[in-house]
Amino acid sequence: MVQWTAEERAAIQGVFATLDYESVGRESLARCLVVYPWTQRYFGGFGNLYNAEAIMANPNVAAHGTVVLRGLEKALKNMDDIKNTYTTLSELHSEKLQVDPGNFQLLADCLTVVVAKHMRTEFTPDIQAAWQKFLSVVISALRRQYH
Amino acid sequence: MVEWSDSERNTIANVWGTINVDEIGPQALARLLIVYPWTQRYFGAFGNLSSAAAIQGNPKVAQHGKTVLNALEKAVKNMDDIKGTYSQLSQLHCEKLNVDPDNFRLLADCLTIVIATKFGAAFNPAVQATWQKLLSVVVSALTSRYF
Repeated sequence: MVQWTAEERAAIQGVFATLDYESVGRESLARCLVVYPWTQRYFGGFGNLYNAEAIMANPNVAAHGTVVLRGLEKALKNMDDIKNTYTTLSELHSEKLQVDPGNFQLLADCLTVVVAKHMRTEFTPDIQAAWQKFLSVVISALRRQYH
Repeated sequence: MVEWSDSERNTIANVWGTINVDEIGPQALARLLIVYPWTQRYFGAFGNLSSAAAIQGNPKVAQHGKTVLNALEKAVKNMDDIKGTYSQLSQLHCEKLNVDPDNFRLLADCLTIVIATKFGAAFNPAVQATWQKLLSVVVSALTSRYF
């Protein structure tokens, strides 16, 4: 089982407390689609993803970004059992959505950039380390049901 | 050969022109050593790396951070032949320093985070995409002499 120190728990809760889910969700997903354009293949029904401006303004991207952040909140609320928290979502992404699990890391990286951009120097190295540990546990849980 | 649009060249020149190399380099290297602690194995002679505070205050880390960022300038000034530019540094990292090339990407990620904390909203998705393109070309060039 993943061990979390009191400092790590505080750091991760502290990061979440700064997040506006809608804005951070939208921006993280948009960045993923801009910086790693092959990820757009999963969002064929989203309409105009033609360039960075279109992606940032796309309402489907915004809505889905919020969905992703709300999904991430489950891990925050269940830090001692992230693995089982994501069993259903892992199956969904593997069997139904057929998302290449390498992309989870890319979205996590974009989320970290957005957090850094918002928190600026408050996103200290210690907080970054705890945050990235959290995201890697989430990614590992999401990968678990892939065969 | 890697193609760069005029807009990408301008973006990189602007980012590079705005950052303080002597400040960003040390921060990026410190974050690498804190967030990915196994990287400390390459810096056995640097003295006290026993905590985040020690790493951030370590003068050898700071000095080496500046060395690394100054070397990144070679890429900015030779964007049409980054591979050739880093041929010797690639050999050095492979044959003499024995650095696992995965770590180049980790340092690149830490550098991106530091820039996001400095630039805030100015580090928009298009800028992020261009910056990460530059870093991935650099990482590829540094890996090019590994066998």
